[in-house]
Amino acid sequence: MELKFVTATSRSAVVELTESGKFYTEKPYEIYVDGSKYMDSEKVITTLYGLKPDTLYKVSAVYDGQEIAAVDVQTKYEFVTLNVREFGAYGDGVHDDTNAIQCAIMACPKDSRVLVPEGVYKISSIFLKDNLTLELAKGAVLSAFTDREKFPVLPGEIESYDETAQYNLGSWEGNPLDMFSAIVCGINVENVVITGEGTIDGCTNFENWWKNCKVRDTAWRPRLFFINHCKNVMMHGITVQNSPSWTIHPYFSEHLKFIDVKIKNPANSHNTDGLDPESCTDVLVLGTYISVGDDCIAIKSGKIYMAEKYQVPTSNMIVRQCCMRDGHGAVTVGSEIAAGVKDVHITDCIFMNTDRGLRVKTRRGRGQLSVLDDISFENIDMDNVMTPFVVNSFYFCDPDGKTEYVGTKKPLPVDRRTPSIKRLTFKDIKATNCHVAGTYIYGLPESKIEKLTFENISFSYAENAKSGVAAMMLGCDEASKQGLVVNNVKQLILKNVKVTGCEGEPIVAGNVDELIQE
Amino acid sequence: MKERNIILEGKLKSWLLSVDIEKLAAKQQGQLILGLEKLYQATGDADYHTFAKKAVDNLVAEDGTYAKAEGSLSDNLFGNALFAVRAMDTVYNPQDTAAEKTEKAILKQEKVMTSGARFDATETCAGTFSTKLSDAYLTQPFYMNYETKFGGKEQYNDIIAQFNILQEKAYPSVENELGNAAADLEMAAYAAAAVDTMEVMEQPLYEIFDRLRQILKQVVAAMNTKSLDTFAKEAREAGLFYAYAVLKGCRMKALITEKYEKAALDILEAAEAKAQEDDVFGADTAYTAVLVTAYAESLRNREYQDYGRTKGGALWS
Repeated sequence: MELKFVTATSRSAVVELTESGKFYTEKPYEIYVDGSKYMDSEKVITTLYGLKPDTLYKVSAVYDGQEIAAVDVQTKYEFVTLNVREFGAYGDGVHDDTNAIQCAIMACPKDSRVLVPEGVYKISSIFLKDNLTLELAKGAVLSAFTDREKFPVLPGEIESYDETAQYNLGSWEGNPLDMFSAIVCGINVENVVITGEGTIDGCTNFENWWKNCKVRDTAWRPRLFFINHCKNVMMHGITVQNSPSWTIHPYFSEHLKFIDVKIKNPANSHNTDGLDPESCTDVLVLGTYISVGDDCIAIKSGKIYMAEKYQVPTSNMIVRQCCMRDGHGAVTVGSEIAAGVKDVHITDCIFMNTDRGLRVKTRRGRGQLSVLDDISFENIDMDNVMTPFVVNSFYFCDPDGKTEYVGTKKPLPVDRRTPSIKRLTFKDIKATNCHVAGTYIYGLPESKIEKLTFENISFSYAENAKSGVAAMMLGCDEASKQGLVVNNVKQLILKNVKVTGCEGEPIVAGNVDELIQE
Repeated sequence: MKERNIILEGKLKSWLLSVDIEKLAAKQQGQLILGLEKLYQATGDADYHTFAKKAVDNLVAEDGTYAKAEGSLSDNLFGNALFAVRAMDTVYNPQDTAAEKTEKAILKQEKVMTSGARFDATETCAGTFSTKLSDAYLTQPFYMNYETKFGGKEQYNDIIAQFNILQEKAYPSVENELGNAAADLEMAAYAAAAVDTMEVMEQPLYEIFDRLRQILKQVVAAMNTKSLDTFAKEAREAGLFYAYAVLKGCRMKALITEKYEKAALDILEAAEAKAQEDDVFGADTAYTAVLVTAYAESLRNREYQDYGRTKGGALWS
């Protein structure tokens, strides 16, 4: 067991107690700073708030009076603090504080922070700038208005005068479409930190943004947090909740960190994915708690138009020590993945009460650039997940999703519209209280999944298992307690895979070229 | 938004509302009803819609049979006009349930169209409904309208494949002939086909939208090079189709307004002036029907450019 330094701002630091559990530590422990007790923790990833700038601290983890690990932590230098109250913000939950907070942000010099102290600050959209730390103090809430007329619109496409290029701002479901600006929005900014113990509350309910949510009204619904072509952005500590649509949407951005963030939307809310990196590179999600109404994490790279134009897959992404619950999928890849997804690794996480654990959603028409490769899940505990692993190459939730072209199980010619899946690896996973199926995996008959590896996996089923539909595809009927259903795979490797309590055959494999079972 | 031409509109209105639509041929009926509904949409004057709806009521039997069906592609323009009437009912009079026979007529017409002859088949497409560019104006917006509202988008790929075949097979020779009246009309109607088809498709299938946009841009660029000068001088039907397609393309952000709009408005204004001077209404029904359509589009243009927040901001209508 080791206490590792993860990251620091001028006022906080994050540490990790390694080999102590998944998201939660197996036992609660105490944290000492410079020899004095500072706080209790029961999480592997812990933030220490209230530190001073440019200061060296000795941080120790103590269990039963014994120091079990320690690390030195250095906070960052800070020039000035810009308190939004001094810029005219009321924080009374009534006045519109958008301009006051925006003023503080625009005035913030390098190595400084904008502080939002305790209070409820009504805002519409605020925009980030380069070299900014925005800190939401404990009890501070950025509380969003929900009136459409208060929000600016981000146009999906603005064509260059010479008609050779375009500038894309808004995005909706993988296409460059007009959308309302996010509650917190960054466009072409670098070196931004949003930190603290406060909250960004979208204040969405079924009387505002979630009402008639499939209908575009002026523009598509806003995100809670949207960054477009940004670099070096870290969101840390804060709670984000009640989002109008996808909660956190990084778009064509790189070097991103989401650490100890809490993402909360009602389980019945519409399209409120937790975190949707789209065509992003170098993404770390660490110690984050996600409970939402759709997919907890949905990895994307646009639909075919954007994919062919820019060819930017989402790549080099790590999700570690996270807890995901109540969503449709814990970690979803898709369905807008036309530029591909590669090098994504999910480790040391817990998934609870989600419909699916891993969920791959793709379909014919995503295109030949839609290559999914080197995606792994390792050391995961799942409990009460309806179907732990779903790979669906016939996903039908698109305007043309229920067409013969998308839905037919007969092989079609491979052409520029055909997507592919290469290597998926699952290792050291325990799935208890499954309901519908252990796995439900369907590649395309004309473009089979190349290599699918299951190693040290155990599936057991809930005593009163519910029935359900494992995958949103034509021909997938309601079922319960199915084993491993696998179709259209070149090489299927099953090492030490235990299926306990399913009904029917534990493994139902069809159109698998090579089965290696140990 | 273009200033409303009160004199023109007064003359147009009195002429439009006195036309015996039932006596016209299918193509003219379709174009005129489309124009009436577009004018209603642009001006809010319900007289246009009432008149168009009455004509449809008279022309379509309870079982959906279209009285003036010719069995030609022209019938599809009337089919598209039925969609326009239906759309205006939904928008402005949701209580009206008399749309049933209109829907039956649409379903019938679609079956006739899709079971008809095809040309220039490829490995992945059964072929086009016609080898003429201008016929795309009769068929493709109706086909896209049908697929969006009734067909589950099943045939979107067929629609775009047909455009691609036309681009490959028919477009080059017409482009070479641009500058003569027949080729100009072929091409201008084709531009209108592209923009009308874009308008009624489902937004998230963006790659298809983009392909249509590229076709529109290519057509407009070709016409700007070879035909534009003649349009304002000679008030021809081709110029009106061109103006209509460009203005609508600008509204939908498929074309850059500051680069293209003025030429289109100049053509339209020249045509309006000539129409008033010569009093063409009634003398040339086909021409007037297209003029009405283009004129209505010019009234809508700017408010949509300004995002039309109070109108839902729909670039697609």
